[in-house]
Amino acid sequence: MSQKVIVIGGGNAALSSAIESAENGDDVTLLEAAPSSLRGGNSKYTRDIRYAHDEDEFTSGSYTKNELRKDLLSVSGNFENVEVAELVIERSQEMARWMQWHNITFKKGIKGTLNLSRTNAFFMGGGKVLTDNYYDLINKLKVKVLYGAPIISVNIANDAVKGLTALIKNEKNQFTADKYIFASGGYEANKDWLSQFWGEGVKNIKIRGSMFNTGLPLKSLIGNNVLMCGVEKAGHMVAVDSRSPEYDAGIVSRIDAIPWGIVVNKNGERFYDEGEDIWPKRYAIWGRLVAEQQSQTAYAIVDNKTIEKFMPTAYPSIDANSIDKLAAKIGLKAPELSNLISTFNAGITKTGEDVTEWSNHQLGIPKSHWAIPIDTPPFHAYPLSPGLTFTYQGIRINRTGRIELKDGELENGFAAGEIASGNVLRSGYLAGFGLTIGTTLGRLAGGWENE
Amino acid sequence: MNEENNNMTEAIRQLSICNACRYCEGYCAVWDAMEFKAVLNEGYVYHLANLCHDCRDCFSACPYNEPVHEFKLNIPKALGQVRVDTYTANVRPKFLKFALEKPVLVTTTSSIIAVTVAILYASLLFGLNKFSTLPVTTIIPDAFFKPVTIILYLYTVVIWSVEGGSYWSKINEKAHINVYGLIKGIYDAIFHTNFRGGGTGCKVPGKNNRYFRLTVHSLVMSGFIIALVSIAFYPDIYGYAGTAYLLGSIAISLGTAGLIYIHLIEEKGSRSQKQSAMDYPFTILLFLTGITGVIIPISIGTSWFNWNFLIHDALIMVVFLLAPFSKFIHPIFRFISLIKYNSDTKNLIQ
Repeated sequence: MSQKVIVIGGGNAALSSAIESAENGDDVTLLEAAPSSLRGGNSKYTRDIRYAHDEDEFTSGSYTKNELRKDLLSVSGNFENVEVAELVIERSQEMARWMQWHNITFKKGIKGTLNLSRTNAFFMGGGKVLTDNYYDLINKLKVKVLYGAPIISVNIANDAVKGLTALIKNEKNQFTADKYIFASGGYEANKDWLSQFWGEGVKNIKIRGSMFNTGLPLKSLIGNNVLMCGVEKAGHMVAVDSRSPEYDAGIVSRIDAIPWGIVVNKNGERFYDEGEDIWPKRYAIWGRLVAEQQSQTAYAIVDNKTIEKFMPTAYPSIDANSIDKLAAKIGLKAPELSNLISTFNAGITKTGEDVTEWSNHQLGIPKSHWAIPIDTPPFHAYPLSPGLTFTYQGIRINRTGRIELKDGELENGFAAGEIASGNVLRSGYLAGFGLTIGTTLGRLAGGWENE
Repeated sequence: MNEENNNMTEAIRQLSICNACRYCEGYCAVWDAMEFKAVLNEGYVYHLANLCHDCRDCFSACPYNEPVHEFKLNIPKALGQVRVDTYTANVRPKFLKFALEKPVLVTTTSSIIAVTVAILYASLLFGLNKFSTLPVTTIIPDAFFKPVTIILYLYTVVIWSVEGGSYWSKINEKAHINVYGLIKGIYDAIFHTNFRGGGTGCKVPGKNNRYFRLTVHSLVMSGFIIALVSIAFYPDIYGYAGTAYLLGSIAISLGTAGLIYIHLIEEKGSRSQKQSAMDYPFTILLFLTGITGVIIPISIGTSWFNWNFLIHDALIMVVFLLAPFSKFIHPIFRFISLIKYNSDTKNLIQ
């Protein structure tokens, strides 16, 4: 029996649920807040999936459910919603194949520079190609798509969603359906909301993803007594280049220079151990660290020997032939910075050949790995700002994908993707797992359970 | 010069953003080659520009494109502009740069002059009435055809080599090519490796014509090579050599017709219009040589056989005369860059 389904959102989770629903014979309408040229939410900035698998052609080897579970727990501590987390892990196994059936081409490790990863499969072209292909597909499946249609309120009564209001061309439009799937993302692009936690400083935070992720449907659901999960203030935040746009710089604004040099704030002071632990693991702490500095600004400083050691940057480095000149260029006090760098260079203990083990423990704040002397001009600086990737707080769902209420569930209300990712990840992030949560929960909401 | 600087600065700005992203990895050699360089320089961007085959896969995958994104990326266009600049910078003799700047004018004028000269030659020497009844070997004797052809080939090859040498000196980074690079470069050129979008196909002329451009470009290239080899058997234009020449001509006609069709319906915004303006006069010229080549066997025994044959030869002469100052620089520079790319791959992986 064909039911009328409304999908709220336009990223990977929304598209996966629309595909699943339409393939099950439902009459589907998808409401995307963005105009068609900017559709796809944060999924535009993805490129790979992490999923449990036996040996397959998309990866270099098998990755068991136990390994995946262990990796997730190592970044997140524990699962907020074990039932849902286990379901995502279990069903991730079918994901690559399903994507391939739905017009996604995975990379094959044929070329010299293309090395396959064991845990993640990479698809050609990245997230824009992924979402574009899915939009083409739902078009063929006769899904109706409305662009520029943000949801401003959700009407809930008697444990069921009764309707939605979308603002289309400044006019309020009511929508009703038999089933509603909320895949509208987090609220990382809602600076008013964020200012509750960050105050004035919010203006200096770069939003790495879509400017349409304002979380209005989430807000509406919160107002209707649904169960929440995840900490409200928590978000995934990395250090990005201060010169990048306020929204939508995606992956390219990140700065990977940090472990190779030192990081100072506006007063020319270091404030954290740049060489703490393994870099990929510490990558996500630097956004918050920078956010805590004056004007939410800091500078990464490296010398010319290390410039090719980290991922190239979208913006050129600020260069000078002496530390004094570099300080002048970035607006720091020259004597302080020169002093800091000579003290840093002088106190380095070089253990062995591997610079990973070089350290400086003589400073107030040590640098415990990669303590490489900053002594080879030209010197390079990158201005840093906090870059918010996504927020963790979302709504709690059960293993049917339905939204949980304080006493019971919404019989016709489902959630998938980032809005429900807090069920699985309460903190930290594992590369490629956002899409896995989106696709598995999206398909679940779309009726995968019924097969 | 100023415009060239701007094109280069803009290409480096855009590619630096790409190098921090790398989502296009796997589409073609440009993206793998880009990853070999953490900081891009002028010579390397010339190289990347000539590795670009203009398939627009990267443009369709990019979330940072103009006009919607502040980064305003348009890689196929930026690389196309630099590519044209590499032609004008390395063209020899240098004063013939104008041929690259006014491709429509130069191609049209040269063709008209060549055809006119041919007709004058025929009518003055043999008389207009008698001309069509004479055997073709009387009009173009073997003793004349062979040396002219050889001189023409030599002329093109010599100028191509000088231009290729000039281009190589700007991109080589004092590195050597290796045997693997040479063989793989030839392989990539013949089998059109970079027209395949890493298995996703080409987005030109539209996203559903995945291998259309590969097909038509292969037809032109293979047709050209077949015709080139079989004409060496002149004046045997009836036997096996004649059949091969006909097949070559058919391939060139179909292939160039396909390329012209792409030009007419493709999305223009993601293409350097300068590159486009250079491509199409030459494609049309090749199409005319193809069609007149197809007409040769059809017109045997008719009164216009000799006319067609003469016009055909005149147009081919224009193709070779203009080759080093036209779109036909591209096989040389692209081939050099494919060899460099494959040599670099070999050197860096081992």
